[in-house]
Amino acid sequence: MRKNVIYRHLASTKTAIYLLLVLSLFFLIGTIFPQGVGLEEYREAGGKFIFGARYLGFLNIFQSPLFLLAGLLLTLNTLVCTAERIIVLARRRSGEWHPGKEGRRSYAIPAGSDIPDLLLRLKAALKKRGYKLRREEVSESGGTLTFARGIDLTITSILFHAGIFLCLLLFYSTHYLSYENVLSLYPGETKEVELLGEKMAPFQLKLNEFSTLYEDNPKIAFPPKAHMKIAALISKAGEKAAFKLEPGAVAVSDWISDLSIQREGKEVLRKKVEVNVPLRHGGFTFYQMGYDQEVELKVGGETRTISPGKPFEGKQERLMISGVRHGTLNRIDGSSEKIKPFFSLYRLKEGGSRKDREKLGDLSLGERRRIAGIAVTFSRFREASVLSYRVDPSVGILYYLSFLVIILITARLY
Amino acid sequence: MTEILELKTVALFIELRVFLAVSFLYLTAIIFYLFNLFARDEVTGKIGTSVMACATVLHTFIILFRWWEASRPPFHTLFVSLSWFAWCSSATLLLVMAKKPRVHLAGLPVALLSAWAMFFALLTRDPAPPPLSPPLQSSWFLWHVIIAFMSYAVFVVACSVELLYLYIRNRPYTVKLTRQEVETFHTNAYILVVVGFPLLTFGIVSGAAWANDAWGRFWSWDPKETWSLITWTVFAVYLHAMKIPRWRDTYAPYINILGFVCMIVTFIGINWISKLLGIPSMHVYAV
Ligand code: HEM
Repeated sequence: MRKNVIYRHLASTKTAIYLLLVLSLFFLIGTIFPQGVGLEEYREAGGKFIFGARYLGFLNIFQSPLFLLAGLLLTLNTLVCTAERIIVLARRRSGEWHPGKEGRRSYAIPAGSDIPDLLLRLKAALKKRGYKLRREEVSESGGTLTFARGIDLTITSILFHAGIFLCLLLFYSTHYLSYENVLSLYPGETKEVELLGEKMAPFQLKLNEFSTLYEDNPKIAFPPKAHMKIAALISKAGEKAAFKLEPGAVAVSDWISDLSIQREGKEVLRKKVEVNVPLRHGGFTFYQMGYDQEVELKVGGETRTISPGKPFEGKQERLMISGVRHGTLNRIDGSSEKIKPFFSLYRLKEGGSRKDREKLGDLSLGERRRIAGIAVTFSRFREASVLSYRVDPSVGILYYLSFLVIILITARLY
Repeated sequence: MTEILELKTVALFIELRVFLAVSFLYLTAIIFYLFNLFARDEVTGKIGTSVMACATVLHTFIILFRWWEASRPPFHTLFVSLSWFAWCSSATLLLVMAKKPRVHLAGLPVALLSAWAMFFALLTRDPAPPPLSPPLQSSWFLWHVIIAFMSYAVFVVACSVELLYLYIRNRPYTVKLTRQEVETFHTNAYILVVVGFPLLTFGIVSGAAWANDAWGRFWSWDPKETWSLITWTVFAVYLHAMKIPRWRDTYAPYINILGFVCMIVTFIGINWISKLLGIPSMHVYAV
């Protein structure tokens, strides 16, 4: 089998190079075309390469059979290369010199030569053609120097190529064997967690509390023009551009979901999940993804449920509310305070987009005000925590293996 | 409250003034290297490198100062990451120069990029440390930025040394080097890539680990991610090309330079390319 043409190609470094180049071409296409987008959406967003988008499947290139095939070939290539090196190494160990592709040159050394000098010159001359000194059998009465070229048999190199092969397999595995979904929960609510099809996870998820933390966001009024910036830095005048804290200038510092895992009505695990702090249980990982608010307003005596950011009809014009800001504000001086829930109300310009708007005022919970000719009361709001979750048996191993490969590649340096 | 803000302002101004001074030092180094390029004497090259050394020492203080002032490692905004990139590039150059090569010209591209990074940051980015948004509060993210930029810096120097090799390999006598000395530039460029490659790999894997914790998905084929993969692939091609004797002196140096170009695109060019080609950028990060 090792004489087979296909095997020989798959065992060659040049094939690896060509395959890697083909893959980078796919990657390149994947950056020129937005991925997972429909043709119409692409056209509307101003996409120019309609042909590739429509006929060549470039809007979904990473799912295309050709891409998957190229990846598979590289995986096979890496496997064969690694196997070939292990075979060669095993034969070498048992004393047999691997014949065939590997070039070999022996030099007879006459007695009394200046061996170090000869060695240096031979090494320099042969190195350019890829030969390395493999065997040195010389004594005072002469001997032979054997040079050979061919694949390198460093153990670490074999190991990290084997690791790369396993990583490639695991990529396929996470691609095909993972499941992800989204779930939203109101505080106090308990829900079943859906798995593929009709199946459910063997536990329920409960949201005990959902909270938002804010912090002060002071800004510096630095001149926008480049030469003015330099002028501000080299003259005294610049210090006029000082940090200022505008009223209401805050930034979200965390969304926190206090979650419980329940089995048969009993809590088995409780954890506060944040962005970057997921909850792992029973092969599932739950991530803080966002939140979803519903606001109840009384508009001119009529009760309406409204979603922030979505336009609604007022008396004569289209209105919109911002998200409700509430939670805890941590100040830069170390103190903290509770924010009374409020939102901002906007009037949308005729025919304009959602960004074309005029602020009418803020309204806090329980407050009633006449805005744009009608009485508006902020009577209630509800807020759900939106979590995404994922079941992916291979991803954990993939991380450990990748770090191992990195360590081995680094070890190769010594 | 006002006192705290006043103190913050004073600290920022001290930092930015030193930042400007360091940027000018990098510019000065460029001038010396340019002299060196045209006059081909050894002295101007050496002075260029000494100026780079001064700039790097002063630059170290700014990074430490920001760290202390903001009480967190300074890698979270493009302003500070560009400064870190410039620092890493010059520091790597100085490590290579510690071997006292007789030709200092590899410093020219490094000084150019460092000066560019510093001025670009200073003149177009907001220098103030903003509050950290929830996704950025992650040690994976921190390591991701630190290591990825380190790998970029190593590739910058690798490319500079390779360019120098290509420049002098046909004119070894004008720079009074033996063939073997010229070859060491090629070998050094290779060693640098062998160092940079695992760093880049770590940069990508830690980025994936971060994305996984922050968004619940470790890879989403975002253009920036994909470009980092292109860069990684091109450098893998280079490492293998260096093992093929007939490619070692022919294609390999150019593949190294191509890897550098891809790295620059990954780093800053994605938005520009999107605009140039009219690519609707749905995921593109703001530069
Ligand atoms: C994604 C796939 C691959 C990656 C990331 C990869 C990575 C690497 C790295 C980092 C090196 C070390 C370079 C050095 O120390 O100079 C290397 C060397 C090498 N690789 Fe690969 N490789 C891959 C696939 C392959 C394949 C498919 C072959 C098949 C022939 C191959 C053959 C070699 C050889 C012969 C060397 C040089 C000798 C050695 O270091 O053992 N590689 N590779």
